[in-house]
Amino acid sequence: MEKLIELVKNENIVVSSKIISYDNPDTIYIPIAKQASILIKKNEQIKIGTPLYKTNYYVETSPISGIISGLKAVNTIDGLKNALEIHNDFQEKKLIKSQVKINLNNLPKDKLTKLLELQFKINIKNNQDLVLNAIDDEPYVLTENFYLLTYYEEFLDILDKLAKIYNFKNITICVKSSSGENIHKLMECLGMYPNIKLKIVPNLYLLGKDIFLKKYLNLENDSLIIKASLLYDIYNLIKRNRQKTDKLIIITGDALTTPTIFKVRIGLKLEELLNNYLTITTKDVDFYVNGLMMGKKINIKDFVITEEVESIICMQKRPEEAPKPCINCGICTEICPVNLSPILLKNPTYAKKVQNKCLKCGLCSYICPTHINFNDYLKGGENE
Amino acid sequence: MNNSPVLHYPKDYRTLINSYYLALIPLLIFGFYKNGLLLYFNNLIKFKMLLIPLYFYIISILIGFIIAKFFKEETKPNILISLIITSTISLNTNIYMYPIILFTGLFIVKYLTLRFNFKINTASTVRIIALLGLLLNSYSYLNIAEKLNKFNYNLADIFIGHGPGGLANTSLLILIISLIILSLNKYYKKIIAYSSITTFIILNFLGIFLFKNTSLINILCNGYIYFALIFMGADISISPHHTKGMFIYGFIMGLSAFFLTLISKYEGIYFAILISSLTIPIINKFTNQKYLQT
Repeated sequence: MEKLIELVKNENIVVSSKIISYDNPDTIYIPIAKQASILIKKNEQIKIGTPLYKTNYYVETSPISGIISGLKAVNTIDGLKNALEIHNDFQEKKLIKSQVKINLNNLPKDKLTKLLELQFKINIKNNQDLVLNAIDDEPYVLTENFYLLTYYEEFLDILDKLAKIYNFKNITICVKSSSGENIHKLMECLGMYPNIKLKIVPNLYLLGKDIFLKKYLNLENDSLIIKASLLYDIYNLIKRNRQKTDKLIIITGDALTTPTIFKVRIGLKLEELLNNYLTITTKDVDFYVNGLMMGKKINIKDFVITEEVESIICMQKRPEEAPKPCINCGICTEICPVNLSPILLKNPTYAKKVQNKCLKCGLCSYICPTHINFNDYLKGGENE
Repeated sequence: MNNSPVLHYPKDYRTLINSYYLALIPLLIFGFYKNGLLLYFNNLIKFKMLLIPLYFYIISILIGFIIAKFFKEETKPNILISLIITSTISLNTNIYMYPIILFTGLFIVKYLTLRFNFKINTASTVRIIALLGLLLNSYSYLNIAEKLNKFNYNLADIFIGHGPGGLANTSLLILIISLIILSLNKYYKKIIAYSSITTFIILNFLGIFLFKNTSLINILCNGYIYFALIFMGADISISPHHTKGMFIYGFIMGLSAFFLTLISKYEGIYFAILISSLTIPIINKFTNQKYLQT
């Protein structure tokens, strides 16, 4: 773990420990994927779980019950997209399919395994090491931490049940050393679950990534690491027969008076949340989605919170450092967690070669003394 | 991927330059003491001569500034390189010729670097250009006290900085502090400095024990070789960029410094750095292979 470092951040940004629930908006927007076939019509009455469109890989379902009012262009994490506009009828009607009705106590093991594989792409086996990963890598982001803090009792319950079914070798819950509240709560409860261990990990950037966590914990390659947010979805499906309709997101940054965690309905417009609950302290603000290191800058106008959105960071605008020519210090190579040499990214052949191996973690740009944005090279652009 | 100006490691290129200044200033002060104040208070020089070290410092600051303005670059790094070169010249350097040679040397190297992407160690190259120009005059590294053997210094005094050498590069004691200051900065290529110094010291010890060459002890305790290796050899931009390459480069530099110092006691080190810097493309090609075959 000698390569992973702790990022230097503004310690004054403190998130309120109270979660605000905003999961019943008037309207939601479901962006439509490319080459999707739409399965509903305008003005059609739909329920939670009604299939909205399908692609070759998946079927998108509705997170609310209501009426389809048409199409609207919205901003998403992947850019501008057309979205289905759905007006909420606040009746929370669910489309219940017979096969969705699950009871963990009498569900055959092979069926459960298949269900987890199909729904969550989890390859669960007997005698595995299981790790519940509640580590947030991105600075200022605490979503996984809050999932654990909010649902720790449910998580312990389901982990215990899964352990009985799959006879796991070890079950470990990983939390960062900075998550004092989580550590305290888990310490109180773990006495009732002797098979579950708590592991407090240092505040290192990227330690939340499976490959680094496995190395840190000396785990075998086939060990199963589940993020807290994913365990919440699993819990909802197999214990409460509920599909994913809402999620936790953190809205934080130095341009906000009270950084807060929200429980929101998928498809909600970000502006609605900002206008109703948050105060932005300055006019010149930059918004970043999913972190300052691996995320990207966004335009919040008509921005929709989709499943992929985990955090929104509102930072006061700062003068951008113009990148200077590379001074050949080699520190980017030294710091790269996957042993690439960002200094060689100037060579397009090399850039193309490592495109998939690169984690896009941003450490090279973070450390670069001349403020070079190496992402430009990966995109095939020129920086110098 | 990190493209936000709000999150960056708190240090950058500017802080490295500041560390260089912090490491260099005590040496400049000691240089003024050794080659000015000490001689003046022992009635070895007149008041006018006391100002000569300061004259060289001011001239090099001005030339660094002019070069930076001419090539539209940041002034601090250019002044720094000019000061580093000046720290290595003798007190007996011709005060009229030196500014011309320093300006011309820096101008030529800077022009070649910017125009033709000519990658060569600036400080050592300019230092050699200066040597060639100044050789036209009588050139000695001894100040008046050293010429007259006035103080009879022992090895400990040489370690403190009283040995012969350049204007501000003789104090090994201050250089150790300078190396610590520089090593605390993440961007300083300490591997080059450490590996070259270690190689040089080991070879010198071998020379002392195997060939009974006791004159090498004086070289070991004097700071001017280490000054060149720390401030010129470990140049951040003109040196290999991978850890392995830095080790190899440091080793080559230490090795060539040892042999060339035997040939030319005071100037060999600059030729050693220059010759070593010619191996950088080969070293980089060798160390890059591992990554290019990823």
